[in-house]
Amino acid sequence: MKRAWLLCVLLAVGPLLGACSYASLERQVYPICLSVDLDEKGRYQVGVQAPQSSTESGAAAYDLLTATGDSFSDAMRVLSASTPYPFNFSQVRLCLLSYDLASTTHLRPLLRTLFEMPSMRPDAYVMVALGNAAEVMAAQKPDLGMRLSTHLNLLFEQLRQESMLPYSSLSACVQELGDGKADPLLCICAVNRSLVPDQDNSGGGASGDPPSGSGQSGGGGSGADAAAFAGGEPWAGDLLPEDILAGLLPQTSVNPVEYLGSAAVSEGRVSGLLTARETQIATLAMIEGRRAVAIDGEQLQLQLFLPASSALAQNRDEVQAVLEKLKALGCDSFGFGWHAAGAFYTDAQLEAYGFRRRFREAQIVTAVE
Amino acid sequence: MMTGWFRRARQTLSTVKNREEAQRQQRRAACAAYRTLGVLQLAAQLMLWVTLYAYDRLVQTTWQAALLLALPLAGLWALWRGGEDALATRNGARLTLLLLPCLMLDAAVLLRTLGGYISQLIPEYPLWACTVVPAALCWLTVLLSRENGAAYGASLLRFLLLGLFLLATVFLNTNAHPVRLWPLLGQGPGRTAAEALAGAGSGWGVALLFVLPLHSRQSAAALSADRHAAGRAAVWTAVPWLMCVIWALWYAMVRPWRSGDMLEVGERLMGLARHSHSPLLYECSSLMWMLLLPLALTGCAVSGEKLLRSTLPRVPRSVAALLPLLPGAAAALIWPDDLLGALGWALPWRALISAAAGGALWALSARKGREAHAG
Repeated sequence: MKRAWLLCVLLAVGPLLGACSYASLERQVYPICLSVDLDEKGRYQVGVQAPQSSTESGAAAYDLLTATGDSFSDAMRVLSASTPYPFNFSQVRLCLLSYDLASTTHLRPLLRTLFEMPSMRPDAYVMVALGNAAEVMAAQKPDLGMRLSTHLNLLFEQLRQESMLPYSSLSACVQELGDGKADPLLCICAVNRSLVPDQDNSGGGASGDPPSGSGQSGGGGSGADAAAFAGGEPWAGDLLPEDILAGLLPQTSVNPVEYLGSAAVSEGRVSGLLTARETQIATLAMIEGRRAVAIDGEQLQLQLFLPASSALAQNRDEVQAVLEKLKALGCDSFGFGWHAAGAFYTDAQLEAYGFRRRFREAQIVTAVE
Repeated sequence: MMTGWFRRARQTLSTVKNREEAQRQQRRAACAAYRTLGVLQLAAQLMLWVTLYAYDRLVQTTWQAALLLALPLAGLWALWRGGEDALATRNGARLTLLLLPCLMLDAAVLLRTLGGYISQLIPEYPLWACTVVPAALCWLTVLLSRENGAAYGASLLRFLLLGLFLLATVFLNTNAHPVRLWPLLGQGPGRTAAEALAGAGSGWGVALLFVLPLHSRQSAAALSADRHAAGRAAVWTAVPWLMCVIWALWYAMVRPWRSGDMLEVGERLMGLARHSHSPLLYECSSLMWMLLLPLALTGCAVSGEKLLRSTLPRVPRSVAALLPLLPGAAAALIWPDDLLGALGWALPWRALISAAAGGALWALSARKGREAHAG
């Protein structure tokens, strides 16, 4: 019995002993966000946003560190060399990629490299930043005095619950980009220019910023639907207003960065954008719809069956429109490729059929069952 | 610490009434412990075959190749079962020395993998240190442990390892979907069968389930007592095979990386766990490898020591235990990359060596049976 207890204690202590070789917590840098950009010369610019260990006011404050290199690895090396403590990426919540970078074929190798980085958090969200990713990252501010990590956790959780955010975690993106039979939808974020304070007033930090009130609807709206939408309020389950996209929300908030809408990926790179409403419809349809593929000679039909009880059943035309748009962008985010693969016995037969090529000409059918 | 624990490992759990009963119980416990050690060695090799070799080539049909491994495993089991009676003879014990090269190759693969994995966990340490230190520790464990202590120690961890294995696969909480198994035949049944043939080399360790512990195969009474246990060896063979099938199935359903991706060994080992939604389960997977690989390596050293000293008792224990580890460590240090490349062409031969030894033992056993019948 004594030995059994000893064994239990040993096993419990074992993982802790493994940490002996690591630097203490105070001597590591724990980035919350990571950004990757391509500069005008085509070089990689990497940035991290990490919390300061202590501030005079006691409020959470964040430092931004950036570095540039010919390749992502070079940029990371420069960043590591210019930082006194080693990086630990286990707390990264957000990986921001600039649209310019995400729309190149570098996307998959880059995400794979990020995924394999030691201590990298696999469920960090991958987002496409409209504009410069480092600028978007720098503009991020947590609401209501929260820590940035908590703010992002809560925000993403809420957006996920309301189907406004596709699940574009680092591991999911790597998985989908790797198998080639489905494409991910990446979340997008952007700075709302109307919420960025003037340079003269920007030194005050989060607490000194003007009229906050996340959740209040404000100016800058585009249409009546948009004006009715207020970011951050409890959601009633209805579809979002049309024409909503990150960076264009009619709202006021301490945080000028908005996270709504998605980027469609095709053949390993971003090929277009979906608005927040389209993203919500696509995300809901992926969760609730049943997919099937019918192949009849040259004809390829992609079928989506929506349950009658679904909120989408009344918006079948919109679902159809979103599917058509995704098809036009060449993005198989619904994973029809996997269902098509079930119709063939071998990889060679599937390859000969050329599903990806036929995807853009496929007929789309949505039905309520 | 582990060495001390092995030294104190309990020899028997049953109550005994007399000396003969005590010996019988000890013998049974030793057989069971060695079978557990053999199962761990076999499971480690089969899982490494999936992770380091088969998945890259077969992707979604890796599980079918793992299923096909049942044939060579059953064949090896039948050969060794048939030749088991001859193991108690001097010639039989000599024939088991044929297994030493297989143990050396196993040790080489395990050391390379363990070294690669540790160097990923602690990038500051050079690869050679990550290879040499585990080898030295395993050697010391065998050297300082009691007779059969390493096997008893491994036996105590069996349920823990099984639990960790299940947490690393079935309960990994990852996006594993059967739809990723399509097209069902992948690159064709021929290719799948050919790769399964390459995997047969990892199954050579079925022999160890019969061979060890050699030192206590001296009396006829002991042999007759073992007949039950030999039947159970089929179950002991089936467990690692089943683990291999489940491991391969989860790799196919998750597809942790794309075929052709250049990945480090450590990244391959943790490839599946990296897709878990839970950091705790990720650590469980890490713990599984950190227990399984050193135990399998210790198993190599123990098996080598037993095989060598059963034929050449004068060889010191330290030298006998070092024999499988030293060439393995040298190979892992000198050809770290080539060793992984050799998985496809050098390591499958382990199955043939094992089959040859098993076949020879079978012939020996049959001759012995004929002589006994004639006598």
